[in-house]
Amino acid sequence: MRAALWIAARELRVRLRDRSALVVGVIAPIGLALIISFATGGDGAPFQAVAGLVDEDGGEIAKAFATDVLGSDDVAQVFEVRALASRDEAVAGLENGAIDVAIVLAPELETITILRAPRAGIAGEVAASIAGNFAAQLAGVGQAVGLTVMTSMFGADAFGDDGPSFDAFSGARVEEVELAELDVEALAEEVADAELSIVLEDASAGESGLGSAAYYGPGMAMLFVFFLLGAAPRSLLAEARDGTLARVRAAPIPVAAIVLGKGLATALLGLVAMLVVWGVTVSVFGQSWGDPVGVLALLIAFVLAALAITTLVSVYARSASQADGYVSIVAFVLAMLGGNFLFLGDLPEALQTVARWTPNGWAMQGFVTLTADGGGVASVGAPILAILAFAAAAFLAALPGLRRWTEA
Amino acid sequence: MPDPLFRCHGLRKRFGSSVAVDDVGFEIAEGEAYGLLGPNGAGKTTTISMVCGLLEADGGEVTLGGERLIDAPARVKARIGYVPQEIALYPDLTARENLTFFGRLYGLGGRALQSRIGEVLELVDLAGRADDRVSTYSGGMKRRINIAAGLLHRPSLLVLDEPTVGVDPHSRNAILERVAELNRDGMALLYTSHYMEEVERLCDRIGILDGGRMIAEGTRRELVDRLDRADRVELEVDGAAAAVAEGLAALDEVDRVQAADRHVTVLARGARRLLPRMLELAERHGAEVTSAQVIEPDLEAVFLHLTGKALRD
Repeated sequence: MRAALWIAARELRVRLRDRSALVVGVIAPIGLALIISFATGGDGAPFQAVAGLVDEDGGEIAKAFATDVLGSDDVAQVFEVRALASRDEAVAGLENGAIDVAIVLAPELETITILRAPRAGIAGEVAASIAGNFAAQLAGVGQAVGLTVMTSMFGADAFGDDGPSFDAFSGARVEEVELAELDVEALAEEVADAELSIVLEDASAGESGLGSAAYYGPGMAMLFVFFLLGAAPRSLLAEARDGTLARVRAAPIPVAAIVLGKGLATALLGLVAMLVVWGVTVSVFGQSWGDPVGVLALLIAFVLAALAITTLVSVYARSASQADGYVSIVAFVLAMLGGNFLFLGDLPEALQTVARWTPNGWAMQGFVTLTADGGGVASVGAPILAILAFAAAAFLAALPGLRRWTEA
Repeated sequence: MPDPLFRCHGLRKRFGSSVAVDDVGFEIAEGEAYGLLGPNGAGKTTTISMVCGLLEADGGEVTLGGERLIDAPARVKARIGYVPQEIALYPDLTARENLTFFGRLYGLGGRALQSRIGEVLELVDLAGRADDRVSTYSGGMKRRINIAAGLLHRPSLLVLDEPTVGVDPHSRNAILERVAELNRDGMALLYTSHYMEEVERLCDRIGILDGGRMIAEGTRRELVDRLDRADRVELEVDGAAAAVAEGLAALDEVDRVQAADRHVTVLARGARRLLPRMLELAERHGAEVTSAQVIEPDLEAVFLHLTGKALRD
């Protein structure tokens, strides 16, 4: 392990001294963030949109969604919610620009449809994320509802000093006093029957162009981190060519220490670069990426996946320049498919499905979730696990090539 | 004879269908300098890579101080100093930073490491440039610091793979002086080169590799004795060198002939007496000899005798 640390320290020193890491990891992403800010007309104001709510169901769950989810403080920072009478009114509002997105709760809550103007792709993504989170946690709600029914029958004291809570309910805390206002028996019945699906629809024509550094910031950071991390396997190839790898391997240290040391140093550089982009986005543009712990967890997972993928595509290259080419292609393809350049919601449905097969797509979903509902690290558990799965799969696939490389 | 410090035997390595090293073995005693001589592609670097644990042998065994490399790779590697053919240093780091890094990989640290770095820098005459980046060094200086990096941990066996490639004569001489000094101080050497004069100058015993096989081994005297008093004649001809070589090969006294461009190398007994006949024969073949040199038996002649090829083919 000590050898790996010495190798990591040496790698960092070399990378920082030749300035390439500074340019690719810090200057380029910040420059791009500035360009994006100007290109999207960003003035540093945080993301805000107007959402219309069409409640065609009128049941207790729908009411709870309107008041406790959309009405929560976190969502209020993102959406100004307006109640609308019908889907037609929502479409009209989208077309005349009165609203950016509409959430339609279908009768019997069979679906939640997100209608959005194409110009407001991010608003659609955010609304879909909120609705998705709501649907995913209905099971938890069912449990809470059961508890509430019991509470109404036996009193809160029977379940401890704090009584029951709706914490699992989309992160919005519902006080006991509010619970009492709900028809809990009807709610319990509805939850048992509910099986929600989320539909995202473009509902009006309109000019695209509305964007936000809160979306593109992480997107661009992801793109650049690929180039930064691609330097690790490339430098291993260069060391094999220059003879330093042979000299290091002649030392009484395990080969794994070499790979670990290089990986550690490069992952650290990649993480720092992404943190810098995050910091600049927050401090200069005033754009929050959401819960810091969740953001950090997503960034770490993504850096590991990008490192594994760049290693995978590089170890089967025949030269450093070929490895560079492979990394560039993969970085751009994943960025394009994963929604780093375009809002995921603006992509055709097939491509939205493909995005699920990229770590970038999962990461973008995670960042939208964090930005949208103010959830913590738990709200991005699925994206993080998916990204780590990409990392593990890519690393395992790279192992045979890596072994051949280090022994060449 | 006491147990040798180093021993390898039966070393084999194949890359695809090509056999790079085939059944190579030799021993090196404490304080001995052993030279591996052979043309490019003879298998020297592959042999050294297996000796240093950089390449897994397909067969055979390497032992140092009685320990098998395969059983205790870390302990065996810790006793070997490896100086690769390339300048295996980080150009953006200073000499001191490079030496500190490589020293740490061998478990050195703190004052002991800094003191040892000072010693090896003195040894290679680079103490004054210790804090300059290696990228600013001349070729000869890079070669010297390349050797210094292999000496930090005071190895029992120093393995040098063609350490003077691309170096000017002055620097080359300085490097050979330093290496000889290390050997005089008791460090065993394994030295590879395709420069016969370097191996003759430095090494107590020599192994000659060709086509991945050890074709001869012994002291310089023992190897030269194989020539049966044959001398080497180097001819520069203006004309059909190949035809001249063919004619010379028909002479009874001629053991081997090899022609390349305008150059003809002849291995012959009684070469001085034979020289006028050689010139006459060349003239008969329509070629004019512009230069002729008779050289006392040496390793170049040994190699020609054994393989029919010049060492620097």
